[in-house]
Formats: sequence, C-alpha cells, structure tokens
Amino acid sequence: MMKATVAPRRLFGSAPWFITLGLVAGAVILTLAVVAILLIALRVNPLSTYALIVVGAVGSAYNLSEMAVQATPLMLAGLGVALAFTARLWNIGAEGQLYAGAIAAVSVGLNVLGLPLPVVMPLALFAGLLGGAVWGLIPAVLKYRFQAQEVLVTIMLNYVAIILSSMVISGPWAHGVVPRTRSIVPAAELLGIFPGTRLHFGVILALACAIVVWVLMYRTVLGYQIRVVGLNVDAARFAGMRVGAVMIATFCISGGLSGLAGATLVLGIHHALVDGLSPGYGYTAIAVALLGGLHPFWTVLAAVLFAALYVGSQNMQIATGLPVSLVLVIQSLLLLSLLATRVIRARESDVL
Amino acid sequence: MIEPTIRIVGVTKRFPGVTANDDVTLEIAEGEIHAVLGENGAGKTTLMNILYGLYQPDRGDIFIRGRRVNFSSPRDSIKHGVGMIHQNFMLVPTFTVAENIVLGTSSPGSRIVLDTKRAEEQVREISRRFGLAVEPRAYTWQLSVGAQQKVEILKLLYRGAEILILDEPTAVLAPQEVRDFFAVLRHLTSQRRTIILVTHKLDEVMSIADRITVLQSGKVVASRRREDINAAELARLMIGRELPPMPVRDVPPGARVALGVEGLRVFGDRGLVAVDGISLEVHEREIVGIAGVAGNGQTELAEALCGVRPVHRGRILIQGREVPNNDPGFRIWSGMATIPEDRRRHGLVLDCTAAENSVLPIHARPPFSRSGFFDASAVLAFATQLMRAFDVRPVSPKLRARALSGGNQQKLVLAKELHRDPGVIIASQPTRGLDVQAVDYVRRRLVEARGRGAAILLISQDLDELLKLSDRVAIMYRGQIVHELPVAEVDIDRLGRMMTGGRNEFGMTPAT
Repeated sequence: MMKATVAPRRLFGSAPWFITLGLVAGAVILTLAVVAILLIALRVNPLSTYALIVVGAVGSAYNLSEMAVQATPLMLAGLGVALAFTARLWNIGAEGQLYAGAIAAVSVGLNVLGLPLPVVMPLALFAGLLGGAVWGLIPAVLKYRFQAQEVLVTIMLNYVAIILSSMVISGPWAHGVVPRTRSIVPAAELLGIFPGTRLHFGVILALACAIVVWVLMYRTVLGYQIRVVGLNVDAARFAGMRVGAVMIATFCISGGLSGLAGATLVLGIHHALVDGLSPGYGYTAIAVALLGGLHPFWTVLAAVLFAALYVGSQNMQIATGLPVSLVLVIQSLLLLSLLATRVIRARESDVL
Repeated sequence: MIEPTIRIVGVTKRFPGVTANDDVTLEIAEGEIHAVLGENGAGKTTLMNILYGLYQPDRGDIFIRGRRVNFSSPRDSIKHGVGMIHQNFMLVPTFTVAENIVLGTSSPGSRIVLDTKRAEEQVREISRRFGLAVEPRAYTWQLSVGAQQKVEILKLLYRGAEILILDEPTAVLAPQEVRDFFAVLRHLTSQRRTIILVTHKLDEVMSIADRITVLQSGKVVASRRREDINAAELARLMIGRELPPMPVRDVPPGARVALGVEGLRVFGDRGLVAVDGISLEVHEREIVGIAGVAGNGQTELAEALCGVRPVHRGRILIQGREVPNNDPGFRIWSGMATIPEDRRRHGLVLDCTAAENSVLPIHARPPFSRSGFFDASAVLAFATQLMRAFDVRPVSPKLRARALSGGNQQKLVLAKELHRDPGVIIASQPTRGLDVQAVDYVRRRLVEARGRGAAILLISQDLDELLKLSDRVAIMYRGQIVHELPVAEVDIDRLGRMMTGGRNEFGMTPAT
C-alpha cells in the first residue's frame, strides 16, 4: 500500500527542497526570536544587535576575509567529522587530531633538517594530514581490536594532544618567554591571498577538500562502503565488506582532515605553534557537521555560518559590550531547532 | 433477518492515481470473526481506516447496528464501539500495563492524579473477563510481543470497543503465540465481541475465520462462509488468476557435492552451543530443507555458513574447497549466495537506493568499481536491468529500499543474490511474511536456480514449503541433525512429530 516511509537519515536528505528550505528558515526565525527575547530582557534592541553581527561578518572586505579565516579550520574539521559520522563512528576527537596535525606541521615547518625550501610547505601540510591521521588511527585500532568505545577514546586523546602541544611549546623549540614555538621558516608559510588580511591559501585548500570528500563519499568504492557501514553494519558484513578496514580507513581520513585544519592554523595564521591554538574548532566542527547534515557541501556552508556568527559577534561586543558568548547561545539554539525539524519530518513520514 | 453489526454499502475511496476501494459492500454479523483477505495493495487497510474514521469515503455509507454513521476521526469510531489495532503497537514502554490501558481516557481518580490501584483493579477485572492474562503492574518494555498485543486489545476493550479491527495481527507473532492469540479471539467472540481480521495469510483465515471477504484491486470479489470455500479457491480469488503449478524437477541432483559441512560447532549469542557437530552435504541441483522448531540452531547454522558467525570447530567446503572462518567476502567470491532470514536488517540497506543495494555483494568488481572509483551510472543501468529481470516494482532504482513493499524488497534481495548464478545458496525463511504471489515468485526462482545447477540449503519454518521444494529434508533439534531423509518419505504430520524431539520416532520421548 502507500506506506512509502522515508527515514530522515540526513538533515537535508530526502524531503523536497522547498520543505527543507521552509523548515530551515523556520528554525532560523525561531532561533532569532528566542534570542531576541533574551536580548530584550537584557534591555538591548535585538534588531540593532543582529545588524551589528551582520555588519561585523560581511560589512567590509576585511570582515569578510576574517570570516573566511575562521571558516577554514571549521570546514576542514567539519568535513572530517561528517565523514566519520557517516560511518557511524562517533569521532569526538577532531580537536585532538587538529592539535596533532599542528604539532606535526610545525615540526616540519621549522625545517630543522634543512630540507630544500620549495618542498617544505607541501611537506608540512602533508605532515599535518599525517599527524591527524595517526591521531585518528589510535581510536580506530582500539575499537577494532578491543571494541573500545571511540567516543571515550577520542575525548581522552584530545587532552593528550593538547598537553603534548604545550610540551612542544615549552620544549626545545620554545621561543623565549612567549608561550609559542619559534617561527617556521618563511618558505613553509601558506601564501596569503590579499595583502593586509590574514586570508591565506588554506581556505582554497579547505574548499578543495570539500570536493574531494564529496567525490570520496559518493563516487568511490570506499565511500559507498562507508555509507553502507554507517547505515547498516550487519548488511555490510553479509555483503562481504571488510568492516574493520573501512572503519580504520574512515577514522584515518577523518583525523587527517582535522590534522590539515591544525596545519593551516600553524602555517597560515600563527606561523608557529602557539598556546591556545584552537578556541575549540574541533568541538564546533561537530555542530558544523551535524548542521550540514553530514553532507560535505552543506557542511562547508554551516562552517561559513558559524564563522560569520563568531566574527560578527566580536563586532557586536565592541559596539555594545555584550559578551561574545552570546553567539554560543545562538549557535546552540540554531542547532537544536534544526534538529527539531528532523523530528517533525520523522513524524510526518511516519504518518504517511 | 437480523441487522448486521456493520454494513458497508458502496464505499469508494480514491487516492491520486489509484482507486483504493471501489464500490465496496460488506456485512459483518455480531460475534463473528470476519477475515478481510487480499494481497498487499488490495485496499484492505484503506477500507479499515475508513471504518475506523481515519479516512472519509468519497462515496458510500457505513451503518453500525442499523444506524448510519459518519466518523470524522478515530475518536468518533470508538464512541460507536469500533476500535483498531495497527501493526505497530502504540504503547509507552516506560509505563505499566495498567497505565497504558487507561492512558487518554477519563481515568480513575481525580483529573490530575491517577488512581493507580483502581486502574490496576479495573484492568485485572477486564483481563479476567476476556481471558487475557497480563500483569497490570508489569512495564510494557518487559513484555513479549504477544503480551504487548494483549495490552493493545485490552486498551480497546477498556474503552468499550465491541468491534475490533486487527491489521495483520500475526505478522509479529511467533507460531506458538499465534495459537494462543487465536484462542483469545475465540474467547472474545464468545463475549459478543466482533472481530475483523485483516490479513493476507490463507492458512490463518482457514483456521479461524467464520466468514471471509476477499478484496482484489479495491473490489470485493467474494464474501463467503468458511465452510463454503477452500484455500485454493481463496488464493485464486485473491490474485485474480490461477497460479501455474510449480515446475516438477526433471533432472535429478548431480553427484558433485557443492556445499559440504563437516562436524560444525557454533556458539549462539549467549555463549551456548547452538550448532552441535553438524555434518551435511548438498549436491549440485539439489535443495536440502532444514526443518525444526525455531531456536534449535537453524539461525546460527545459516549465519556460520554465510561467514558472519565464527565457527568453533568443523569445516565448511564450497565446491570441495575449504572456506576460511568469518569471511563472507571469500564465500561470495566462491559463488555462495545468501538470502538472510532478516532481509530488512541483513539483506538490504533500507536507507540506500535500490540501485546501491543491487550491487551490495559485487560492488567492488568492475564495471561498478574502476580503480577504486564507484561508477554510479553503471550501477543504475545494472539495477534497472536487474529489477526488470526479477520483477521488482516499481522499476525505480533511485527509490530507497525502504519504500519498497515487503515482497519487492525480497525480490530485490533475490535479484542481487541470484543473478550471478551462484553455485551454493543459503536461503533462510525466504518467503516469511510475503503475500501469495511473492511467495510463489520466490519459490519459483529457487527451483529455477536449482535447475541451473545450484545447491540450495533451505531453512524454513513453513513445512509446506519444505515439502514442496526440497529433495531431502534434515530435521534440526537442539543443534543437531536428528533425521535426514528424502522428501518422498515424509509428510507434514511425520515431519511435525520429528521436529519436536526424539532421535527416532519410536524410542525417545520428546523433550520440551
């Protein structure tokens, strides 16, 4: 009979686009309305506050460039998380993988071995990828070999990587009293795009990675296996897939993308490993990936949105004195209301 | 003549593109079990939803005890004593039985606080009266499916329902529970309750219904007393044509052993021995049926053979070559096909498209994989061709497998497994839950595969099916094969007796 139930697998998966668009718009309006109540309670005009955020994000070429700078690590780590989550691997360790990538990138970027200069930058990027991949390999192997819960392992490895980076900062590469390592050699730096901004080549790398991840997920055998393993691991086994190998590969690629995020921070922004390198990009990346419905292109858009909110809120803080953490409230509410639309749609398709 | 409890006159309901009910006229007498029989898509559920107030008919009238009614919602229908139980139960798992039953009614106690004691007493009272033994204080998540169904029935009785509509009620029950459930239905009719049983299962209808109405493409094609009709005629009415007889086997089994099992020992989920030293041979062009009461190791045997459950001891040989433990991929390459017991969990990825499903076992081979890249257009073309060849409807390879009906899902499983002419097929409950036409189709395909040389191990709860298809039958009891004999030497009664235990038919007492 006409019981064509469709599972709401992805946030923006199956429904006609106009319904999806309507629900997203509804979620955004709801979020803004709720935050408006909060602002009114604080005796602040919500409209002018929102205007400040918008202006702060896109009001000038410089603001736009800052938004792109913030979006870059969110995109890369978000793509990594999206890939892992697609395989139902709950990789909460993007933050740690980002730090592992940053450590690896700086160790090459300092060029203590005296490598030929043209290869230092690509090699440092690659090292970042590799560092993140290794940090992703650990929970994968523990899961495969000992059925260790990847959620716990990745969370704990976050702390390990952050502490490890503190050790590196205060170690032999320390830069006097400032909590940072010596600067990498200029040849290792990621090229800037516009003079006078912090925008660097990493943003193009991140966009390219989104395309690569899309191709991987939808146009390669491994991607097919990742999706099947994520949707139904039993059926994957019956079909003869090597589920363990797929999981390990996925975790490595996922970690590698976050590692790249760390590398771009070191090579493109700070030109050194600094204390507090990431204000939690790896955690925000989880929200970004979920908001993006685990689809690479939507994930990129979600990263841009979060970056815009973040950059815009700094403008708001300067102008009104409201704390930047207001943006966390907005982000969380937005995520919650978008997840709520998923429930609404699940119910709809149940009834049909 | 006495006025029937329910009279449906000329009901027509159209949906865009289909006429689900076409001028349906039907009378249901008080205290009878009235079966509404039909294939999937025949319009049974639509008709019941109209009777229940979920849909409004485009034309036609419904009379209850002679009074014309017009239900605009299930709330109206329950007021007139009509209640319906859907296939998926609507219970709150963390509530007790009593809480679930009184939920949403003007419950005992004040408007705010529920008088739990009185609710429990009331539930106990009606469950005694109608012979539905359920502990009112048990939490529903603790109950078996059969017991949950009783709670659903009690819910309706508590609300004063006199006409109970049951939509495919046995689909979720184990065979033993079905017997129990039928006894409950009988008891209900003795308490002047009327039961409408919506189903596509012929044997159930023949064993429980007083009167049978057959729907086909939205129309009533027959409404008879059970005594006046037989199963074969019902089947013909349901599908609107005669099913051609199963082709008889013409070539005898070959001499070559395609699937060999030697001293297989496998553990079940709880760490107990589930398969206890089974040896078995299936020759090419042969179907060996495995009979047995559910839970005697058949599932574990099938899983071990498919490579998804580790073998503790013993060997599995395909075409004479031993296959490694726990390696389904190797078996697929060796020409083994699997029709898993649970097609929705093991056979298909419901949220992938039909096309993506169609290449599950062979996705890593060309032309679908070209140096690691997945050729989506090759997959689509292949799937279209496959869905046509195996009559999977609709032929929309981009549709998710979840959107297909049960019969078409199983056809898709068959398609992906059988198209590559496997030498060995492990088929577990291949026709469970399917309607008559789909059952016939699946069986035909298996017989056809045998004709092309496949060795088939058929594990089934359906004894009729085993006797119809198998060349030899092996009976499993407590993880062992206790009998193995040519199908010509058994009939259904003898098979049933052998299944309940005993190494032979004479000596040992069946253990329970």
